[in-house]
Amino acid sequence: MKIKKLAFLTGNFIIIAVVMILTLLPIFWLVVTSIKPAGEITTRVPIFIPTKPTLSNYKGVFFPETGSLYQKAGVAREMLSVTGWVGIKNSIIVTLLSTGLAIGIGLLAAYAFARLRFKGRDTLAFWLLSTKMFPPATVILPIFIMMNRFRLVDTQIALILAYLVFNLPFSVWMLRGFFTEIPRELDECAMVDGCSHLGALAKIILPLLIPGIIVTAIFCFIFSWNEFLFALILTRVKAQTFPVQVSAFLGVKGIQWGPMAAFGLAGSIPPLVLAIAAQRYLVRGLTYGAVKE
Amino acid sequence: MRRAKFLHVWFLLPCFAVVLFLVVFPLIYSLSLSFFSWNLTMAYLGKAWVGLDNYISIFTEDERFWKTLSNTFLMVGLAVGVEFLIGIGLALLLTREIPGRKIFSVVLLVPMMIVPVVVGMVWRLLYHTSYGLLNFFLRSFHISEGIDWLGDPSVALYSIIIADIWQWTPLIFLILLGGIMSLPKEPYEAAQLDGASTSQIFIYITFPLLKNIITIALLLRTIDAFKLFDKIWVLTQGGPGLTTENIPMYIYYKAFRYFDMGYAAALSYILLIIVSTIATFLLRSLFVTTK
Repeated sequence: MKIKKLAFLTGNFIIIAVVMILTLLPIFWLVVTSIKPAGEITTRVPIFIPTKPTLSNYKGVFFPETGSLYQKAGVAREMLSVTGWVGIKNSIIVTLLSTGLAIGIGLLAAYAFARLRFKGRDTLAFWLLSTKMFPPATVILPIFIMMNRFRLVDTQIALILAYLVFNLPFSVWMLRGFFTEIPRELDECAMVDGCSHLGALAKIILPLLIPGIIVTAIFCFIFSWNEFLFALILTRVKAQTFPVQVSAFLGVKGIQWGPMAAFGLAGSIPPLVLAIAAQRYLVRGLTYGAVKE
Repeated sequence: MRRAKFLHVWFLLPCFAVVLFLVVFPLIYSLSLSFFSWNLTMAYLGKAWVGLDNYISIFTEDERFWKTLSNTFLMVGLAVGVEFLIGIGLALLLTREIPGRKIFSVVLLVPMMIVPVVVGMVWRLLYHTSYGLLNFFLRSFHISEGIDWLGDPSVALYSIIIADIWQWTPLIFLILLGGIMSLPKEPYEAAQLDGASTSQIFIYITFPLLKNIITIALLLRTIDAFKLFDKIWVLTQGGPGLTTENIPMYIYYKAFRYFDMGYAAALSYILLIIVSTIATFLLRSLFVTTK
């Protein structure tokens, strides 16, 4: 009996160890590649621990001495002067503003869905959530034509608006869930005391809702930061975001793996840190509130 | 009193103005576009009304459409299937108190949160025929002389699926683990008292209680898998030939390489119909669980 249990535990342990190794290997490889000098990356026998670790890949991407990160990749001339900061800066601006708008507009709508009574409320809420699930490929064509007409292609505004397509329904839906967890009596009391709906929202409920708002904002941030298709189509050079800039390493002369790894790793840190901060709510966010652990 | 009756309108107005402008209008516009022939490379021809011609030629003449459609279904089916099997296996394994469970959950969170384009890039490096890590392992264990992971037409599709499985199995695992942890304890205690076996407990207690959450996890991943674009873009751009091209990729090529706008709009409506059919089922299960 004891031996059986021991065998069972070892079996479990081996499975978990294997899964951990498989999960971490690609990430380990990204980290190692980012600190390897150029000569140690394309060897037939891979070098697992770089003999001469270097930060030159990071320097080349963010503080280039001569030329920029795309020079060797052979990409279009107008992109030659671009450094890694452009993508990071655009990503930060687009992500923060789109998230802010989604939360602001979403709060009002979520309040109505959670607290006010009107006809067709649930149907409307569900229809709104369903728009989050539309494939971006379906709306990208008309949005591109629209942005083109307003001369917004390759501006941050185009992406800020486009990201509302998925951020807003998500934010309304999540915030509605957090609203319903706050006892209704609280705002009813406030209104009996003479507060308006907006006053009750601002003074009584909002402070209680702050954790929910932060969690929702973190998810909007991650969705926007990772988005690729809209960014690929709606930007050219000036407004390109981090993922588009990473994909530009697929130049015609072969990929510069070292700088790519350094840049890719640096740009992956913001969503990773936020995800770990919101770890407790991760499943809840990713299932639209269906699983509350 | 009248003001209070229409109060919700004011709260919903900004939200629905945005949705109208960014979702409803584009959807109507692309629906109407799908009945036109409008090629920007032949802009002098302008827009010409062709009725259902785009749809008819998609379904009757377009071999590329059928190829990309079958690619899409193969990718979705295989990726989600394998992700589910590994995910539920791990979740069931980890419901017991095992040392290191917490670290394991954090580690598994990492792939999901790496930017998908970067994930594609890393796998492209791992798959490299001459200096990729995977072929190095195959060579050192004398399994094969190396596989052309992204260039071999019979392999490339599976290489993309593997990268997707690596990134998204953790999602299914975490959802199911969350689900299992929130199950009521009483039925298990009762079953143990009655002397039920582990497999009986799973089939008659865990599975029925977990059915809704399993459905949600599967549908979420399915909908997402239908939209897969970034990894394919980075790994193969749909090649070699058409072997890894899915419907979103095909729409992209039609619209932004060949500028065949009407045709691309029709394609995108077909994708929309497929995905919203699945989304309806998802919304229904979400409605049941969040009520």
